[in-house]
Amino acid sequence: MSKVTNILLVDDVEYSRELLRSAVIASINDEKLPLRPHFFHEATTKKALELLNLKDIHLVYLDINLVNENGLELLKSIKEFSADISVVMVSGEGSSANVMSAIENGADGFIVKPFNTGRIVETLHKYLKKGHSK
Amino acid sequence: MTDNIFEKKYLREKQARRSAERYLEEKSLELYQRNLELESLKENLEEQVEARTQEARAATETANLANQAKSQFLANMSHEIRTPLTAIIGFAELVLRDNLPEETKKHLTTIINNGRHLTELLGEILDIGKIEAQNLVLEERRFDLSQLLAEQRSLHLEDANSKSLELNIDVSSGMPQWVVGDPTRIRQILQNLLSNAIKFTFQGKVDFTIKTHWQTSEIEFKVADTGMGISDEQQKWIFDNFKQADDSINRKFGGTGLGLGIAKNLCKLMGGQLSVVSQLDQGSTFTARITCSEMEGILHQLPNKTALQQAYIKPIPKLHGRILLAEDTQVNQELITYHVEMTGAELVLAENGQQAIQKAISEEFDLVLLDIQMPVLDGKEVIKALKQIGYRKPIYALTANVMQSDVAEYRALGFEETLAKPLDLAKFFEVLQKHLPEAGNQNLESEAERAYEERLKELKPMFIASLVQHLNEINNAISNNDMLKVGNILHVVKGIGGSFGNDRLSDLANEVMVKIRLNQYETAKAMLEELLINIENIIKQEAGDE
Repeated sequence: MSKVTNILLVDDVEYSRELLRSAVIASINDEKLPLRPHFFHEATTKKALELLNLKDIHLVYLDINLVNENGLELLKSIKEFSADISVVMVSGEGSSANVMSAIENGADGFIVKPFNTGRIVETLHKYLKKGHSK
Repeated sequence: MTDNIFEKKYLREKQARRSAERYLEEKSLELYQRNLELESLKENLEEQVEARTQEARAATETANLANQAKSQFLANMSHEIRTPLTAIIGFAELVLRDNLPEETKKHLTTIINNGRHLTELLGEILDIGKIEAQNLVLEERRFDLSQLLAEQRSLHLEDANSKSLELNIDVSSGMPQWVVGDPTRIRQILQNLLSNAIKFTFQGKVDFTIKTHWQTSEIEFKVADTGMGISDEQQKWIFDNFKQADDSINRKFGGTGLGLGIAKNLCKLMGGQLSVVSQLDQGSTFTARITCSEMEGILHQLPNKTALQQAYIKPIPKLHGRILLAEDTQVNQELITYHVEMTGAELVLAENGQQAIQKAISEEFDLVLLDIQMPVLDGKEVIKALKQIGYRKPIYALTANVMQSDVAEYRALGFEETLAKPLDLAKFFEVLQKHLPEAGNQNLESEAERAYEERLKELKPMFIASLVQHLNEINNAISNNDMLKVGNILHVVKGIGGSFGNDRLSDLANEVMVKIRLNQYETAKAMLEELLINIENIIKQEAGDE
C-alpha cells in the first residue's frame, strides 16, 4: 500500500525545484517505493514555515543557499516545529562547515548538486526507514 | 696463737667479702649499662621498623604506578610499532609484485613473513597483560586448519632449511580440514613451538606430528626436535612468564621469554594442556593438546600452497569504479593507492574525517574505506554522521585495533567489515572485487538515472532561455550601475548552473557575487566580462547543437 507523502521543496530557483521533483518521482518509480508523493513548492523561509502550519508535511528538500537566507536556519526552525519531519539539505557545495552544521542540527540527508538519482533514492530509503521505526 | 689464727681468718674473710662486693658492684654497673644499651636498641628498632614499613609502602606504590605505566606504555608501543611495520610489510609486498628473480622474491617473502611475525610478537606482549588480568577471550569461528598448518610449514621451512634442518610435518594419521575454534590463538601456539624447536636445534630435524582424537574432538600437536634439550631443573620454570631457561639464551637467541607461558595458558583456555619431555643434548618434545568445538572433513596430507602464496599467483583483478579512502598516515595512503591503481580503479583521498564526509556526499563512490584513528573526526564519528544522512554505500573500517570487542563495535556502527592493518592483500582484493564493477563491464545506468537525464534534457531549453534572460538583465543592470541587482541575478545563475552540472558557470557567478557583496565593484565588473562570455558561449553552443 502506497502512502501519500507530502513533500515540500524549498529552493529559490524554480528549475531546481522542478528538477528535484522529477528526480524524486523517477526514483520512486525506479525503486518501486511505496510512496505516493504530493509536492509543495516554496522559495522563502517565511513561506515554507507558513506552509508547515497549514499542511502535514512529511519530507522537506531544502536548499542551503536561499536568496539572502540560510537554509540551515530554516532546518533548525523545522526541527523545532516538529522533529518528525525529515529534512534533506540540498547544496551547491559540500563544504564541511555546512555538512557538519546540517548533521548537528538533525538533517536526515545531504545532497550536493549536481545530484543524481542515486542520492535521492538514498534519502527516500532513509525516510521510509525512519517512518517504519516509529 | 689462737687469736692470731682468728685474726688471719677474719682478715681473709674481710678481704674475700670486699672483693665479692667489688665484683658485685662491677657487675651491677655492667648490667645497668647493658640495660641502658638494650633500652636504646629497642627504641631504635621500633624506629627502624617504622622507617622500613614506610619504605616498603612507598615502594609498593611506586611499583603499582610503574605497572600501570608499563601497561599504558605497552598499549601505546603496540600501536606505534604497528605503523612502521605496516610500511615494511606493505612495501615489501609492493616490490614482490614486480618482475623479480626468484631469489629476491624469496627474500622478500621472508621479510613479509617476519614482519607479520613481529606483529604477532607485539600482540604477545599485550596478551600477557590480558592473561594476567584474566580477560583474554577466545574467538569461536570455523576455519580451515589445513591452511593454517600449510602456512606454518611455509613460514618455518625457510628457517629450518637455512640451518640445514629437516622439517617434517606428518598428518598421515588424519586431521579435520575444518574446525571451530580460535585460529589466531592456535597459530600462536604452533608458531611458538615450531620456532623454538628450530631455534634451539643445530643439527638433525624437527618433526611436527598432528594426531586427532575424534571421539573427544581433541587435536594433539607434537613438536619433537633433536636440539640442545632442557634440564630437569629448567623444565620447572620454562612455562613461567618472563623467564628463559638461561639469561644468556636471551642474548644469544632473542625472544621475549613470554611465548611458552602464553602457549600454556592458551592451551588451558582451549580445554587442553601443554607439556614437555626433554633430555639435555638429546632434544625436546612439546605436546600441545586442544579441544575444538567442531570438526569437519578428514585430510591425510596438507595442501601444497598456502592461500597467501595463491594470492600472489592470482592475477590482480581488473576493476573500475571509485574508492574513497580516509586515512591520515602517508605511508598507508601511498600503499593503498598503489594497490587500488593496480586494479585500474580510482582512489580518492580524504585526509581527515570531515573531508571524508564532504567527499562521500559530493562525489560518487562504490566503496568507502575509513581509518578509525584520524584527526578532526575519527572513523566512528564519520560513519555515525554518514548513517544519519542515509548514506548507503559499503563502508569498511581500516584499523590496527582488531580485538574482537572493537570489531563487534565497528559492525554495530554499520561498518560492513573490518580490514586489519597491516593489510592482508588477498583479503583486500577480495573486498574490492565484491564491491567494484569489473573492467569492461560497465554497469548499465539505472532506469531512474536515464529518466532523470531525459528530464534534464527536456529542461535544458528552459535553462538556456533563462540564461538569455539573465544575460539581458545583467547587461541592463550594469548600464544602470545597479550592482546589487547584478548580485541577485548571479545568485540565481549560480544555482541553476549547479543544477545543470555547469560547474564553471556556477563558480564564476559565485566569485563575482562575492566581490559584489564585498562592495568591490571594480573587480566584480572586470570579472563579469569573463562570466558574460561564458554565458554567451553556452547559449551559442546550444544553438549550434540544435
